[in-house]
Amino acid sequence: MIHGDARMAGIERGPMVTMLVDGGVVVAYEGESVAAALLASGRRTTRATSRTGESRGYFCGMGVCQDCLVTVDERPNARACMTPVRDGLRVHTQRGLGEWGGSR
Amino acid sequence: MRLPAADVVVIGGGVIGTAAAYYLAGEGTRVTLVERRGIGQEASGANVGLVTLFSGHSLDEPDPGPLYELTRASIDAYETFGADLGVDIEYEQCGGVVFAETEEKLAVIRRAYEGYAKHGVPVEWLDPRGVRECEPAFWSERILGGAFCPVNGQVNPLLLCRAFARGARRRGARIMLGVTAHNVYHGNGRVRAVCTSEGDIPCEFVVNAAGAWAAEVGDMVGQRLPVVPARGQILLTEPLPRFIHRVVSGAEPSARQTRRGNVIIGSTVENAGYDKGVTVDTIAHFAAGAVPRFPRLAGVSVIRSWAGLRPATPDHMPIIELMEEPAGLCLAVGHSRRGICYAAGTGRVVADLIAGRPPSLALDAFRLSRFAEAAA
Amino acid sequence: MTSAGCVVVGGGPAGLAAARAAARYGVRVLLVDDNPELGGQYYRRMPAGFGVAGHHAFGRESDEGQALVTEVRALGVEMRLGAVAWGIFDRRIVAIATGDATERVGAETIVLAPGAYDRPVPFPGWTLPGVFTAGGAQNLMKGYGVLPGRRVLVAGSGPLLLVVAHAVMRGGANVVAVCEAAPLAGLWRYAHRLLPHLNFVQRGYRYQQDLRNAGIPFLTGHVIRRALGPAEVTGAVVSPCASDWTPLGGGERTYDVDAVVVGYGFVSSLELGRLAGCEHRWDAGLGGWVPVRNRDMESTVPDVFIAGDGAGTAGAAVALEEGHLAGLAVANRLGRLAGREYSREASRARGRLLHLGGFRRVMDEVFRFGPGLAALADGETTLCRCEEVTHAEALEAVREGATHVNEVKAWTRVGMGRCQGRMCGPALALQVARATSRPIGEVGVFTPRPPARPVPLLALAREIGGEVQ
Repeated sequence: MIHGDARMAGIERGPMVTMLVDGGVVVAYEGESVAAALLASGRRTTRATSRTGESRGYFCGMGVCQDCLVTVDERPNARACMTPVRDGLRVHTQRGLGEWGGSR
Repeated sequence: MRLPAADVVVIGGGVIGTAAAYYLAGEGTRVTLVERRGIGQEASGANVGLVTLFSGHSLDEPDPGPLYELTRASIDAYETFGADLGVDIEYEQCGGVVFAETEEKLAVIRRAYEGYAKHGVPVEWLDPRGVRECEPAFWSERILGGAFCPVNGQVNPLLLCRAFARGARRRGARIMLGVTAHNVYHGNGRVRAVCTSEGDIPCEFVVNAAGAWAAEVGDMVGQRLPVVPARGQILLTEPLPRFIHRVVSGAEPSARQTRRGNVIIGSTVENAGYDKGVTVDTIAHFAAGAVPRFPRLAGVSVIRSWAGLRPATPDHMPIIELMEEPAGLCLAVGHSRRGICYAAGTGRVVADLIAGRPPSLALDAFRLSRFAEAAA
Repeated sequence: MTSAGCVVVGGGPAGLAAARAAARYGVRVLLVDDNPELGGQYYRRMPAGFGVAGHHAFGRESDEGQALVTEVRALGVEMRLGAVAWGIFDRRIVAIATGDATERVGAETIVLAPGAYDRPVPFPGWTLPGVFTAGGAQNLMKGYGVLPGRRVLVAGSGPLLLVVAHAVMRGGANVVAVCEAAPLAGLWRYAHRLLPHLNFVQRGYRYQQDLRNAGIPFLTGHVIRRALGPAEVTGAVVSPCASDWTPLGGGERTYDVDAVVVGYGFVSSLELGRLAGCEHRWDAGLGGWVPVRNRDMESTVPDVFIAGDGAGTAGAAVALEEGHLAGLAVANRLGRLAGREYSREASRARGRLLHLGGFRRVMDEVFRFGPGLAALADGETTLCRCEEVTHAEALEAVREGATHVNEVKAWTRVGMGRCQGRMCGPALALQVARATSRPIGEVGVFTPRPPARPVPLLALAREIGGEVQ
């Protein structure tokens, strides 16, 4: 569910960048983590678990809990809270164990 | 302090001990199993989980025989075992590929293949392309060929132990955890009782299933057992969707992918005493071996490692025998690298031996005296 | 192989203080931190290019942190940022994954300052997106100026609750209530012990006043019972609790919220210390394991020092002093700081620690860990988040004879996930202890094994080396 911009007022932010999240454009600011940008835009769910399909998202914010996992530029299991945004970054919410590509 | 008597005391709660307790209890025998830690906490829970009829390791004994029969018994059991106990042991006959990257190895596999094929074991010879097609996730520039056995497979060894223990308990066995066997009382040429940290258990039979510590139990009756710890280190990755479909072995390290999706990479065979540490060199070595052979693993993270202490005998074959001196002592030790493969078979023959029946498979090759004879 | 006089793991207050102290006396220091910026959690600040003029919520720590970082850099401390220290071998070799390769560093001394993480407390709905740990909410606000939600419930125990609630409020969102599990009755009894620490007390008092003036209810002796979903947080239920934090039936209140921030203190990151072979002991007051150390911050393994929240959470002021002491001890051990000067400097630091200890002890007593938290979860509540194992499944294993956490792990997969048992370990120990009527310190810990953090196979397969200048 989208709740509008959760960024605090009164803060100047760095240069704007755009990411693609599940194909949709999401605006972020250089220096933000993918998690911060996702949360700021109201996207709280990063993945659906493999056993029950339940939603998970940002929990500990410091790279320990392994729940904010997303697929970034086709690489699964990236911790959104530890991944910096970049212009053109392609982020996908992850289903289950993710899709691990490669010819083998 | 005297604890309730039992017909049989099993010393050791690994896969061999719990299997023995399971089959013994199935005959109405009063069984007490004594384990100083928990079920399956040593080698039984620290291995790769392979159940291989035709394997990279057994290539030293190309003729199927008693070891084959032992494995066959386990394979037959695992196909349905656990389900009725409510434990999914994750047994899967996914098939196994044994490959060679050197001419020497190729020759060894060829000899083994011919031997097994002669005995009607389903094994298929593969050329390099056949190896790659059999397991597309696997890549090696130097594959010279190999063999595929559709009956090879994998199991979750931790849950296998849980199932044996649960089954034993349901059949009336008493399982005492956190209890140490200190001594085996024997007199007049017969075992009489096991002295434990919780008291003495009078019994008629004692099964030594103490794994890498079998020799300690042997010492309790003045018996020298040539069983020493052989450390095996293993790496484990985070889970990912199934992409390694076979059990692959033939060059270090071997790899398999579990039901959950973790890839198990291992294992070493080394003499490190009772040290269960994982070394930085092994980690680097296994990673360097696994990534080129399974390229998808490059970006996959290792999340765990461990080491188990295999109970190794000089000829890698177990010692399964009901002793005459002291009478009532049954050895089920020294399963070396194949405890998981031999567990059900071992449990069954232990039950045979103690019941006084001719064992369901020939045990001559597993007598303790073979070591003295070899030395002589 | 690279070598260093001292490898410091962790770039928060303790690690920075240790690096500074050692480097001041000429020790070649290599500092490792997995974040791209130094400062750890406490000194976390907004990215370069963000201006917070007029926004004073997080000013002070940031300046203090920056000064320390500048000093450490100026002293020539070698850095490995965005790098993961994943193992300690043969007591002296630190394995560090940088990018896609591993560097082995031969260290004459090691200072572990890995910090702590929020104690994970399972309760129904705790895995819903929208449930944040207090530290996680702080990082979001302090580090990026992003709010956890628009209507927020803050629950748990400890001084950090006030800090977080205050930050949410200052950030412009609505705090519907703050639930503190401790009764906080009779705080006046501590007045004489708190007098020497008026700066801390004043800060806390000011936060509380601000919250009261904003009409935010502060409920003591209350715990969060449930976060409501179904797919993300839409509400939360709280109820009164006993003095040991056991939830009480009746008196439940439901709030309409879109975020829940939960903070029940911290768990020290002990993985590297355990890998190094350091001994640990159970601290019932903290409700956690801590390393055994002497007054020089040295562990039971010679030349391995442990400082800061990674040795038992006591806050940044203590971390700075402990890190300083560890750095001094390293300098002394390596012959760079003579005995007499070392004694003098160390005595001063220990004096400051002693003073700080007075405040810490009051905090630890007032907010003493309540084992009643174990009653928050029901059978269906997730215990292991990574592997999705419920409390019921774990307790079934206990009924079947598993008495050690490793045995429950073997049969149920609790602790086998990517978080390597960090999220479920503390709660599992609590549950096993309760179910077997034993002290928590006797149900064991997950066997420590390398890698201490997940590391890609490629990074393990490739090795780099070099000399620290």
